[in-house]
Amino acid sequence: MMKNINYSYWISTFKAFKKNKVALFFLYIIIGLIAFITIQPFLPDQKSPNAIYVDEATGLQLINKPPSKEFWLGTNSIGQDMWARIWAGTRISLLIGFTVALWENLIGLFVGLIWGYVRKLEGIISVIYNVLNNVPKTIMLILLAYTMKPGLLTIIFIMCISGWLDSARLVRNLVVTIRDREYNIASRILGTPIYRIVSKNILPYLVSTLVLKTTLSIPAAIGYEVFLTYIGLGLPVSTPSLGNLISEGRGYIVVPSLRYQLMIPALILSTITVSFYTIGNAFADASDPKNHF
Amino acid sequence: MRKEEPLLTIEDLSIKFQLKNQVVDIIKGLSLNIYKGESLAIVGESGAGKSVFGKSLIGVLDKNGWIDSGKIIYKGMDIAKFKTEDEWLKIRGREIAMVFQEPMTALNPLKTIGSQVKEAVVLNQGLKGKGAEKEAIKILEDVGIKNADKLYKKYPHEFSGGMRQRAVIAIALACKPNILICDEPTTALDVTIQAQILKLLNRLQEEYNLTIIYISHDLGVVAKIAHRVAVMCKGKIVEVGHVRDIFYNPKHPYTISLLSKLP
Amino acid sequence: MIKYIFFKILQSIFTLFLVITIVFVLMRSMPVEGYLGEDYDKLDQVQKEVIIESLGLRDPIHVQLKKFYNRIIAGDLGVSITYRPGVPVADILKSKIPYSLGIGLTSLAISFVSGINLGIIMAENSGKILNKLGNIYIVATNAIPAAIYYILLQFYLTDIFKLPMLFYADRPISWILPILSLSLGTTASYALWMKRYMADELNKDYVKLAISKGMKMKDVIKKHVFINAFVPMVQYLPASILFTISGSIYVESLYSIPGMGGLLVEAIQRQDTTLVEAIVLIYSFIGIMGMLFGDIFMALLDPRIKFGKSEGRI
Repeated sequence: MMKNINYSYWISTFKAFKKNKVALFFLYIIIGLIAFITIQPFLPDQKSPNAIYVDEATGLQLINKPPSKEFWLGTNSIGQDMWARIWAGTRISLLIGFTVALWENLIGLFVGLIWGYVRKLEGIISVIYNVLNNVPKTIMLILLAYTMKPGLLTIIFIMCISGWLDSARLVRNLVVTIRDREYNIASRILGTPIYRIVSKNILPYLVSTLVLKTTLSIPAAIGYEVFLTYIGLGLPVSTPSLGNLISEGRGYIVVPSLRYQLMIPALILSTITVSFYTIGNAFADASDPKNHF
Repeated sequence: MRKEEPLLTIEDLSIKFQLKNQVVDIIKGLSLNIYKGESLAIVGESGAGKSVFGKSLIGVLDKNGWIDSGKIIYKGMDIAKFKTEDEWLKIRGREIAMVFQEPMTALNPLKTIGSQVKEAVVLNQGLKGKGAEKEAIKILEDVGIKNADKLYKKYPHEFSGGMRQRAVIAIALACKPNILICDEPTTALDVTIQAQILKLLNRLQEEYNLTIIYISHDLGVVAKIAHRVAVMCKGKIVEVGHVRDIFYNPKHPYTISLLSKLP
Repeated sequence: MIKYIFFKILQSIFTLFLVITIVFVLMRSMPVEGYLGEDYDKLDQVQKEVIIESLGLRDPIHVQLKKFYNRIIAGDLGVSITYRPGVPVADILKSKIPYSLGIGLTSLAISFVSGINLGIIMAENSGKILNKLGNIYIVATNAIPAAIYYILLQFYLTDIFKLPMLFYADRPISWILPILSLSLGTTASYALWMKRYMADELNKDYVKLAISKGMKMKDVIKKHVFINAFVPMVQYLPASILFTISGSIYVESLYSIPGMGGLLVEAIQRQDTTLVEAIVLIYSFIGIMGMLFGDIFMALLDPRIKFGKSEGRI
């Protein structure tokens, strides 16, 4: 019987989510995008995103060439293949987004559980939280990125250590709620089974809150990468990312024939963030039991 | 049967609600007379629509509800047909006022108790400034809040449950209404406080010649305050009579089943 | 309440010290040679050592830390290394801060006023077209990264409205676009939260009670609902200050505004560690102060906070 209570929560959530056509549309787009960038390198005639291409006749770099049969989206200002770079950049950006979102929420979950459950540590962790929470995140990212060696791991690392606070707080509040209810019920001497039912009601809520938070963390992390790269603290030029591509392409907005070097990465970035944002919000609505019938 | 004209006549009232995909009848064909100076209790189980009925008399139904048909006659006006705010402003406060069920949510947490009572005075008694403040303090004392001049400046969360309910009653009283609708005012309170509030309401009724419509699912409470009782079941009044008759000589099977649930 | 404010101030001081310490630790973890700047190649090993020692960089860590604290608290932000070698950072910043402050504060003020009004309008007109347009605006600003719409706005609006592409201190018309771009995101946030809070409040019992007293709906909104919805809005003040700071870094670069944000980007490019350090400290200070003021305002406006937190939630 208890399995039924859990089971129907997720099924109802799923059904409610499916009703939101717009969110479903974006979900398909993300899935499609991920599928495409995964297989893209294995398609025929793909070029390396970092190789600099040189005109065999003149020995000069093939700078800013328009789209052609050889370079499907042309080349950039130092002769690299735009098509390959754009998809490589998308891969890296999504990798950053997913990895950071996953880890910062795992850390948050871990800390939140301890914070809420272990009474002795609750006070001190609360104080630490309050002090850390006051530290401006963006500024910390700038500082950390400046002092550490630029690279993919660095970016992921600094975003994770500055991003776990919010999920820790969310988890901790929920744990405290369970804890308080536990005492209410214990005082009514209703025995263990009811306690389990209540946990089974809180746990799905905890899971869905974390899933929502993680979904929204992804575009946030990608956004931070763009920000850091823009300032010059992000990934090195040798690692393509949406941030790098947008930074490189920005100057060409005034040149109509080269404008696409900015627009295409910008479009992809916007699509990713809009999709996750929409999916996240739709999921939040769908997982709210008030919207289950 | 009384010979005088009723103060408030409800004729065949029907109230519907829009829920998700369906339209539900909450009140169906309700008819009732209410006479001046009496204390009429409306009883029934939770969910029978008693609160909805009370709210419809001053037009504070939830957004998804509406009066579908029927009449509510008061002083020559058919309240059921009211559509605009201006029409309702003729009734709200100065004719009919309401005491809400849960005092913590019925009071604005960010405003002092005194200011909330004063607001009712200003809106309905034509007083302003210091005069209105004095009147508000007087009313607070009247409902049994001692040292009202000092407690005037306090916020709702600084009051106990019983005192908060007294404050809500004070606000309703400050409107100088003819009819006072009490929507389960003691349900959220302690049993001992309940008794105090009932005593208060009885006294106020005598002092101000109020007509009270008392909504409750608790028959025990009803016995202490009502002159007449109307039993509501599934949106209709199934039996009406003097409190003694209802308790000792119930006629309708539903009334009988309700009584049998008393301890 | 005094106790509450006192604790909050204490907390902010802790945070400030923590930030200063972190800045110190991280900066010192970088290769010491970074402090030599452009002269790096011209000097031999001995000369380098002399300079490094004179900067106090060979002292034991705790000595360095203490000196650092003293320096910062005294207001000495050091000397620029590569941007303007030898010039005290404070002098460099003096001319930059007014621009950032002016644009930042103006944009915050605009966001605050427009956002809250937009939120009220949206709450009062639920279901109508105005509400839907507002929603699209909010979603667009939240979902599309700021970097992108800043660039697009600069490009397309300068074209359509014939506005200047760069900022000139003496031409007010060139101020419009930067300030407007900067306020878009924060306006959307304020509108969203205000609408949500007002919608929540409109459902509450005290609104019904106010109406039952005989109060007109528009007065209820003005005197009861608005205040109750507005108070929790104050908690978003610190976040919007931070957002404005990071936004200003973008916007100042785009429009060549000679402010702190643009300076930061240049300092990073030139690896002028002292300058970066100083700017980071100043921004942190502003951020922390913003949070402190947010907390204090909340305490002043909400009488419930005076009595401490009733539930376990933070």
